[in-house]
Amino acid sequence: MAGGYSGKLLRVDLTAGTVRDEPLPGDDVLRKYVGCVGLGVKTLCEELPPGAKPLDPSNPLIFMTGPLTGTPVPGASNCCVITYNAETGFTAGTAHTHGQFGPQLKYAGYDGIVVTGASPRPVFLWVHDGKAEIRDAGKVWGKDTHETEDLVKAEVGEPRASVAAIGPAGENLLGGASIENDKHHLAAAGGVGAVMGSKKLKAVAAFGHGAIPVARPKDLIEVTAAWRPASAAARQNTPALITKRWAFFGDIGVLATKNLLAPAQGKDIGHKYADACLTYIKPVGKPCLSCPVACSYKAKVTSGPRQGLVGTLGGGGESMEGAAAMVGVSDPADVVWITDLYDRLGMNASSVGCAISLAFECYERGLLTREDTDGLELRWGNVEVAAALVKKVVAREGFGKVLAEGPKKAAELIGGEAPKYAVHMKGAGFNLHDWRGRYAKMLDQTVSGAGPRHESMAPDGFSPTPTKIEGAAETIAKTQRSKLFKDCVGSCMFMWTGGASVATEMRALAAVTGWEGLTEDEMLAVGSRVANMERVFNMAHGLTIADDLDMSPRMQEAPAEGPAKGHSMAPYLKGAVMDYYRFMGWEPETGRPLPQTLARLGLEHMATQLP
Amino acid sequence: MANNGRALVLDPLKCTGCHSCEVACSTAREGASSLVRSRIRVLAFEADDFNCPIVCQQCQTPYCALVCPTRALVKNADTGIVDWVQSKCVGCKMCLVACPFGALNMADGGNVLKCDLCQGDPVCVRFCQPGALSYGTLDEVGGGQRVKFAQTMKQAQLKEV
Repeated sequence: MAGGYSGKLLRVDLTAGTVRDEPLPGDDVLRKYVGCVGLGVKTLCEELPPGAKPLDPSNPLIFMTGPLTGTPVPGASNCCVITYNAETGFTAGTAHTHGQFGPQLKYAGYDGIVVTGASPRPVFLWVHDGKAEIRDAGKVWGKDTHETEDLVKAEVGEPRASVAAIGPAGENLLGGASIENDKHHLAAAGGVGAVMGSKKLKAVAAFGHGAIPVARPKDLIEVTAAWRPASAAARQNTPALITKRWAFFGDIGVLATKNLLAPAQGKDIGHKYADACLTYIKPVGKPCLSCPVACSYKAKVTSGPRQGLVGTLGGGGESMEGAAAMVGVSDPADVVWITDLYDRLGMNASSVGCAISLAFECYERGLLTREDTDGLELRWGNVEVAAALVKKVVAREGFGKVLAEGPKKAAELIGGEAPKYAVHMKGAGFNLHDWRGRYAKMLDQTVSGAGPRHESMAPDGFSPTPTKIEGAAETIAKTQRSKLFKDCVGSCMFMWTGGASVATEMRALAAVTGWEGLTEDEMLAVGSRVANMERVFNMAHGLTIADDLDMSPRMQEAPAEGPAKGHSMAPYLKGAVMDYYRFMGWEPETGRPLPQTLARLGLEHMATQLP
Repeated sequence: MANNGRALVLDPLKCTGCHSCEVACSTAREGASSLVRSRIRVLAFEADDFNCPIVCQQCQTPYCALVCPTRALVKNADTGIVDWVQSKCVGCKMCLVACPFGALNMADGGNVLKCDLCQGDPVCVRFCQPGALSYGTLDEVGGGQRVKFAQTMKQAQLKEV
């Protein structure tokens, strides 16, 4: 067995209530798929029975680490959750999470877990030192994610264990439900929390005294000792600085505000937050394993009406935008409070938040009245009303039932002009910032094979000014290969800024595994393989070009204000998607992978799955 | 206490609890990445936001050496390092108990995991970006604090005038 791997997969059948170990595939397979999304998507493609639906017991819920997870590589904490996407309903779903869960799973002796079946009663899984047990979760069912973590750790008697859990959103099978771990982290996208809820699996706890073998320790120390400080310097988001980044998002107009109606107001929201973090909100960094940066942080409110509140936030601003800014909440302590509420309920603010903000806009426009909303007055900026509505959505109660269907379906149910206001791609949430005017980033999100998400390294996402459409498709096709390769190895994408090229990742991979003669082309083929497997899977489950063009009208319209004012993707969308297909070696009209493309990647056997 | 007059110094208040030192140490010295097989350990008090790195301090009066029945642990007068001599060790674990910091560990095979400062270039220090670990001369160890204190005094004096 190559270094970097624990060498075992855990197979869990919740219908039968059994667990068993299975050896990882051999080196020939591992070199082609590496780990994380690579091994995960491969397993999904091979094991999802024909005709199965996302919430069927036979849909595998796959937790998968990579060979670098748990090593001294910077940000070596990646664990992916892969399943048939419960949010889109017709694509693969992949979610990335960090913290300590992936590393602890490996120290416990497993590279991944494949869960199938459904338990008749709530259970959790306790994985420790080469053993796994299915335990009763009756006492924690209904609890929020943070309470669940604490209770499960107490139950297994190991405070150092890492716990990944669903909240009420996952239990109630919300499309936007996520899996939370280590308080600060969410495997957010892909409806993974709903799939876990459908299996009545409340949590997975992992802890181990084990060690991950490293084939060439000296080489690894040499590669990573140079890489770490470069990443730390480039990211600039130490606990104090990450909070300033939201102000920067506001400055350049990408801070998603008021259902995308008010890009210019994001500046005020971002700066107010950054200023508060220098005065009455104290950020305390909570790094993932082996991270030199620490972009996750506790936000401790030290004065004012919310004094004593401690929010457990992650890096970036997506969840704060989805939970707070999208409904016009701008008070910094309120931002922390409602973002933390989403985390505790266990859901993706980038997705559920768009359904909530849609309702607010419809109410402000008179399309909804108090009679429709169970008496709630949905006025921009009212944080208490937003929270009340969020809880209704999670409980699927009253008007909440409508919004629980996600922004696209909810807009159809509300009717009238509502579909014009909805913010979504393919009916699902995306990595929520106001990307309008940044065409490569918009394209990245809409063509991503695992539902809308970052699958390439679009260089213009945080460009201060709108970009050009020229070259966008080629950039996305090319960087998707490298992004998806890096998504297979086990380190955090934030660590790739600051000099971690494909070559750096490859050197680290070679040092850890001991594989000889790796080439950059071989690594890029790993990424291409993931993109093509996802494409075949998606087309086999009904995806057509119409779905890649299903970017909601609000996303395609030109903003009325802010740096992207007047810039619309609409005239370019179809051409860019078709160009992207061409660069991928797919039929330009349909996006169907060409036989020679699949053959080049050793995926010719998948051609029969195409419609 | 020191290796050629230098010491590995811990500042728990700067430690963020990322455990990078542990995975780097275990990889460099044991050839496997682990939080347990490391010569340095970080105890995290998550709820209180406090993280405490613990490693051999190369004590002037090493209790571990005092209790060692076979003289497998000896203070090296030249380097200042408390050396562990594998051939003499009987694996009795008395040193683990005696160390006031709990800084010694034992691997599965019976090897005592004890910091020897990586021959003058401790790998943990290179992997500590927050600066909780440093390696410097004894003069440098308290130097930062001295400068800070002196500046506070200076400010107070300037205010008086």
